[in-house]
Amino acid sequence: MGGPTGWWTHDTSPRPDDAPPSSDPASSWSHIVEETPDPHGPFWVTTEQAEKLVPRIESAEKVGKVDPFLLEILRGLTGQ
Amino acid sequence: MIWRKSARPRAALSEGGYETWVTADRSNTLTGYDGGLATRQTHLIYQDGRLRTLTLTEWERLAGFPDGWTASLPTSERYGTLGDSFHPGVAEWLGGRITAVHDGLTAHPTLLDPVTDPARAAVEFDQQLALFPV
Repeated sequence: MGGPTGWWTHDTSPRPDDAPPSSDPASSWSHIVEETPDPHGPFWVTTEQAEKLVPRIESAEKVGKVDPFLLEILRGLTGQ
Repeated sequence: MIWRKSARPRAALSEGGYETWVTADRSNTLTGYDGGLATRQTHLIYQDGRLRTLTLTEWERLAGFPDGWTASLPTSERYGTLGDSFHPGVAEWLGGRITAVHDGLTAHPTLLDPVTDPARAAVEFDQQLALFPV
């Protein structure tokens, strides 16, 4: 869409969201996620952290939006 | 498999609040507040049979920076710095738009002229304002 003079919006300029995400390799998770992160890094979820996360994930059951697989993984970490 | 927190609780969980996590087709916006331990972050990744959150390298990649860009900073400051950063890709796009407008002005030199006809300038101003109805 251009203004009255057509110069200030430049009809031919692409907007950042013009392209679908799948067409931009740099924006895909496969280019973001580390394949071999440090196995001893602090980013791995511990049992103590899982115990805090479980009730938060379970809270989505109130609205029927709980992710069963994620909940299963976290419960597995806590030994439930 | 990757999840992202899609809704923060608006009340304590004991008072009916809830938060939702969904399969991440995209990432959440990173903020320094969400950095650090898994209990603060808003992404979870199931990888090789283990669950983790984003690494700092992944934060850097999501923020548009090369790997190790913030490595000289203390860990806690790396999250804050990346959370506060402006994505270079967005900056580049904005710069391109400014350049395009500049080129447009160059192509229409009369637009750079001082206002010599206030009545005409007022009409043009009204025309442009009309594009953004309140």
